[in-house]
Amino acid sequence: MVRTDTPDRQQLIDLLHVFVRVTNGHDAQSLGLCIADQYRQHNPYAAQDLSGVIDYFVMMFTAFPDMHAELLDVMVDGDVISARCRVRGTHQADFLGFAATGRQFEIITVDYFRYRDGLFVEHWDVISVLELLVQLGVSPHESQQFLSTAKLNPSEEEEK
Amino acid sequence: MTALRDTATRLSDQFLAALNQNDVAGMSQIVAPGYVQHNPEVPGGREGLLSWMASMHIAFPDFMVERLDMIVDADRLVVRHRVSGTHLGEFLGWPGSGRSFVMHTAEFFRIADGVLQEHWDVWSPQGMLVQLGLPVEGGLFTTFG
Repeated sequence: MVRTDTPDRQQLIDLLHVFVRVTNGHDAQSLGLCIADQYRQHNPYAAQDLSGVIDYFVMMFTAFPDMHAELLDVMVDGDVISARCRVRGTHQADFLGFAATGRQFEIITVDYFRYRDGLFVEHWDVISVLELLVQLGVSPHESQQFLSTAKLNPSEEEEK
Repeated sequence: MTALRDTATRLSDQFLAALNQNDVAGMSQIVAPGYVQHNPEVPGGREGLLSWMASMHIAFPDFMVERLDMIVDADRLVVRHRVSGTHLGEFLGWPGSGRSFVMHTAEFFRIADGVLQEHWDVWSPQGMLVQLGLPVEGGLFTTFG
């Protein structure tokens, strides 16, 4: 990746707050305010590009109409920012083929974003889909079976 | 900033080396006695970390932690780890099963006086239990936070 200059710390923090405001507002169509069209995803279950992020959040907001992320901690290192969040939601519609259970999940996640020219262009995370499925009451067997078939980025290592 | 990054890198290197070898002396050199532990599954203080490390090596003799990447900001660092092991000894009261786990975690540390003072982490207890084939209901692990 070619970097023209090192961004100002506050630019990254401000953009993260845009991302949190847009996602907590369930306004998936506004994600282009903070995510680049050619967004590179390193999570093996995440689709590439802005369109993939929009599709993901539309799916999450449908399945979990009360989904909310609480920003716990932010760190900045050059052109990369990390966000530690507590994410909660209630399962009220189909999620990855699993019918609504009415159960709540609460997970802690970490996202790293790389910043360039006013947008986030690259993303890594620590998030456990397995944790989420188990909290929703999906059986361990079904959860593992799902994860074994759901990879979108086969080149990335599976986050179990 | 460079000096801070050098310190953070050295501490992360030493932490991984000690953790992978169950090296009590090595770990003791880089962790403050009053190490503040925010992971509810690990006992507090340096002594708590050492006893947790020992228990992991009993449960998983091939216990292995690798660094994926690191972010340094002032007096804190976050390291993404790839953690793996094969369940051959007692773990949480369960006998070895031969099953293994692999997971990615994020480990946050605060540094002062050249040593690790405080720790938070992000990982999936349920994901680990599922991979090991252990019951996920019933609260063997508390909810992390």
